[in-house]
Amino acid sequence: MNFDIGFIFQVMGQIIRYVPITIYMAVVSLIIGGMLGLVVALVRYYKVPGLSQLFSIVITILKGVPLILVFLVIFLITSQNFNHFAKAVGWHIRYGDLPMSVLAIIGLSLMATVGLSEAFRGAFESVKQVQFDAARSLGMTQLQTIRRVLIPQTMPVALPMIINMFINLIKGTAIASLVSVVEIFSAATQAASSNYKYFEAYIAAALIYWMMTIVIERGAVFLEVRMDKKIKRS
Amino acid sequence: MSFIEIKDVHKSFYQKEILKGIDLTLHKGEVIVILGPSGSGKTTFLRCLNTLEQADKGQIKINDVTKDFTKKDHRNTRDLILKTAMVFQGHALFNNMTVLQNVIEGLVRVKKTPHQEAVKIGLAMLEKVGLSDRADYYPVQLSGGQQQRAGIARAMAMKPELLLFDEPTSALDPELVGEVLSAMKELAQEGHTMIVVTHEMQFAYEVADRVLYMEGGIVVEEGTPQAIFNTPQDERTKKFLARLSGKNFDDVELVEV
Repeated sequence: MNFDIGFIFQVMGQIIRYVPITIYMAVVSLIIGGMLGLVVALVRYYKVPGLSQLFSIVITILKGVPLILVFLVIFLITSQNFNHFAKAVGWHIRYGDLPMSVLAIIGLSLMATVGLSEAFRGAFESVKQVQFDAARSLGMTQLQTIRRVLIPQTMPVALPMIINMFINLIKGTAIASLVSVVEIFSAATQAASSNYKYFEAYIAAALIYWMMTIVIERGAVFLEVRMDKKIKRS
Repeated sequence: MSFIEIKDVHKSFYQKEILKGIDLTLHKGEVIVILGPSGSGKTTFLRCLNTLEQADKGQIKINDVTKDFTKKDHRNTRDLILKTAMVFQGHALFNNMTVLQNVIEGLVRVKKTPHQEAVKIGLAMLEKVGLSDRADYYPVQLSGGQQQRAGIARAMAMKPELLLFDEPTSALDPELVGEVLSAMKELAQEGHTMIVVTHEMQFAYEVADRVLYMEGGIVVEEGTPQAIFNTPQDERTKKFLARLSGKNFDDVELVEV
């Protein structure tokens, strides 16, 4: 087998078109997962009766399952039931009309929810308790305290983990190829199928993933430096 | 009629009774210092007064607001909270806000004071505690003493009728204690009603109108600072003061033995 460097660049040129869809899936999942994760973390932090236990069970179950299984389960459930469900609710769409990226986003969002809820919970612990007493003694409501004191102090602490999750989501999108979303990984596989130069194609895909994560990491460092100015002694 | 009446405050944690019925009445402008060994319930008492801890029994009346601690009534609780303000041991400033933002947070979010007016009040309060030049600093950029003074400014900005101080100098380096105490002294002289839990005897002696000695969840003895410090009546008060000041009240006991 001779190594074809030219083909790497050729594939890269082809698959770079799928960078936007990859980023789209990752960003949407990060936002959904971030919001759900925040809610889950808050519920567990404030030990809301009932919900807190429920979430902790759900999180434990999801945490212990590989992402690929979550994807397949979602695929199986939706593919069998969506049409009945849509009919019952009165939607005029069929399963085949759904963009498959939606399925990927559901799976990735679940993964992000699990990871980020744990990240936020850890970050909540870093906020000094006496500040909640102070907020209460000023007459602030619990919601005001969460919004004005807890969350702003949580974000800088959780940021490295959020970025890490973003990178994991980018890589996780490769699994979306399983549910027939065309993204970087599946595009690379397709490009190689004509001449069987899989090795070169995968290197091309790896290079693209690398470039994306490097850009994200650089951006994160920039953000962290800006946030640290407030929280840490200069 | 007294300005503030606190009646029969009880509080238990895990079946252990920490407060066994505390009564206290204050006149407007009176400064009360509570002394006592750790575990005597003085901090718990203070925290019960603004419902940071829910007392099992008791009531408080401040001016026109009466709050029965056993009754859950959000409006009533809020009214009480707005009548009081508390200064904590330390690290109670919101770390994500500048000093000025800390001071005006309660005004803007709770009292719905227009922002400009709140800033004006905030700056005036900071001026009072000598922190005008630190208004735009974040808490981590301040010394412990400055943080505590900012905490005092934040409490004062709410214009409370009763100021509560929970050992405001106990977490400070010795050389920073003075600036905080002198800020408190100034407030006392301005006629604010204050309850101070502290171990600073000098402060208690100079500033307090009345000193309470608490131990085991009850007020053992109370009186003017002169009376408490110079001629304590109760054995427990004597022992505590002796331990604290090195003044040897135990001598008498030794003779007896």
